[in-house]
Amino acid sequence: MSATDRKVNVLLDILISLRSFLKGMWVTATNLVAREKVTLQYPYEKPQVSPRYRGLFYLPFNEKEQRLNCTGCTLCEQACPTKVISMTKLGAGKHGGVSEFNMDLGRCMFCNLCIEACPFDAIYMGSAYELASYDRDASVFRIEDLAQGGKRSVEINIKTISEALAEEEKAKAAKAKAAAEAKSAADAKAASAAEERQAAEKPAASEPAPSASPESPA
Amino acid sequence: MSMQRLHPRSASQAREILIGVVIAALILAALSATPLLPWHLLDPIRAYFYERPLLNNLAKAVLLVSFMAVQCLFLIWMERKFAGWLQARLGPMHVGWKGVLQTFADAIKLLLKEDIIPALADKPMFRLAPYLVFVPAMLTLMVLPFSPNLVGFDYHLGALFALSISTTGALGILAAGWGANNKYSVLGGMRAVAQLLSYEIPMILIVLCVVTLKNTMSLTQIVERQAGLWNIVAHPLLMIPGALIFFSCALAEVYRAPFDLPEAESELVSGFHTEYSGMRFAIFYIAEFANNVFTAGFAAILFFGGWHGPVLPPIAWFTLKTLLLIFLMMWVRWTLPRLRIDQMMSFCWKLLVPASLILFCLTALSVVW
Repeated sequence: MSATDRKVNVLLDILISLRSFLKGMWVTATNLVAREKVTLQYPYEKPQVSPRYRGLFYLPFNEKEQRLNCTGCTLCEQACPTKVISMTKLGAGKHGGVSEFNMDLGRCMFCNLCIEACPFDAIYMGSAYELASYDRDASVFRIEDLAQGGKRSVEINIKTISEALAEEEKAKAAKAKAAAEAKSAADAKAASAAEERQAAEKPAASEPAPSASPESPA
Repeated sequence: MSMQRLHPRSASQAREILIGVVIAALILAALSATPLLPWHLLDPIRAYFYERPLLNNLAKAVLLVSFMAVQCLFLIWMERKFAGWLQARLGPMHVGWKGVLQTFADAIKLLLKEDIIPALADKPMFRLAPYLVFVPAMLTLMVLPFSPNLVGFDYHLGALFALSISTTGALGILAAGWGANNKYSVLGGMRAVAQLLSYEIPMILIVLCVVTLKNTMSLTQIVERQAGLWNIVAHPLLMIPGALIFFSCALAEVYRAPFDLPEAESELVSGFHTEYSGMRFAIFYIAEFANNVFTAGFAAILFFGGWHGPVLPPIAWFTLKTLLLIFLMMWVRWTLPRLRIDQMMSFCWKLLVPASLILFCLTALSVVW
């Protein structure tokens, strides 16, 4: 439509605007009748969140080993920019774990860095999202709130780890004992050998003993 | 729709529409049954009131105002529901069945709210303004014939009375805008008056067309003379454009979108009722909806044969027509964007006024022929 046309053709303008008016009315009418409602009656209906949703953290429970995956390595604690995580280690090394694991979600910004830092698949974000509380202390989530399976799995976790640690300790002690025994046996052996050597040296004192001195460790 | 649906839907659309249709049918059936009710039992009460004209009129007024107030609450709910549905929402759902008592809850809340009057407001004017809007809105309903027997006051100049009284509401709106001592309110009030005075002209001309055709100004007579054919069917060439012009003007007269410039939220906060709170605000709201009912009913009387229609009783037909026109107003409101003030004025003065003048001339010619 050129400018000269527009100047004169008022009727055409009216028709065009009438057409666009009817078009708009048609859109709303089809909306009214045919379109599905998108409203979610929230407190009564809950949304299904996506699997990648960043909700409340959880510490997965390892059914095979009957413990939480967390080894208490503090990598997540170090990765956290807002110091959300604090933990109490339970033992160290191969069987190490945690007895306490606190997350202050009042500070958390759900940035996912702790989860990326964890090499043991020990912490994830779940789908729980109603985390508001009337009390600031209630925003601190303890291990029993976070662990998959709650308090029971925490108890099992602590039991398993303590047993494993005790086993380890026992094994270590046994090993140490065995080593000590071996050492004393070796010592005795060495002593007897030295005696023998001395006894041998007496008749032939020219040959010195190059090794197996009694001071060297077993 | 490509959007992933994250939650399952339980209630189906078709079922809701079906429920709505069933309820509407039940209401219509109830209205149809009204002539069968034992009305003669009320005869002693009627006689008592007929002997006392003052009491009779007072009772009529009280009935009319309370009926309108309740109807407005219902209409507000309907509008909110309708707006929700147009936008793929649910609308009010919480209070009562499908939120039907929501506006009652709102009304109670407004009644209990603190009544705030701005410190620098013109207090008498501020207090008076809501009633200056409310009273004309109710007075216009007085001459509206709901059925052959149900007329507040069968005035032989009904059309003129209704038009002149409905215009008086602008005074109250201007008073509200001025009294609040708020620049947005004043602008809103000014706009309201400018708009009303402009759109009154084509509206009156169209009403004049109908009056010329029917040769009477009494609304009851206008309806009665459409007994065989509705105006819009009897004179389609004159009355279809007439009805369109009247409807546009009616939208502007009751300040509804796309002509809701006096309360344009994006420009004027809330226009002339920015400073109002509590029950005074509620009165503005009720007046607005009473105006809607009046305009829709007026249009039904002028073009769609008022209470005339087959099978159903007169009151049911009139209610049905009025509600359908209100529905159309809501539909337009939730479809079209708001006009600019200059667009609105040029639409009136450059299009509606000449068109209605031409239409009036044609009507006069057709009558004389």
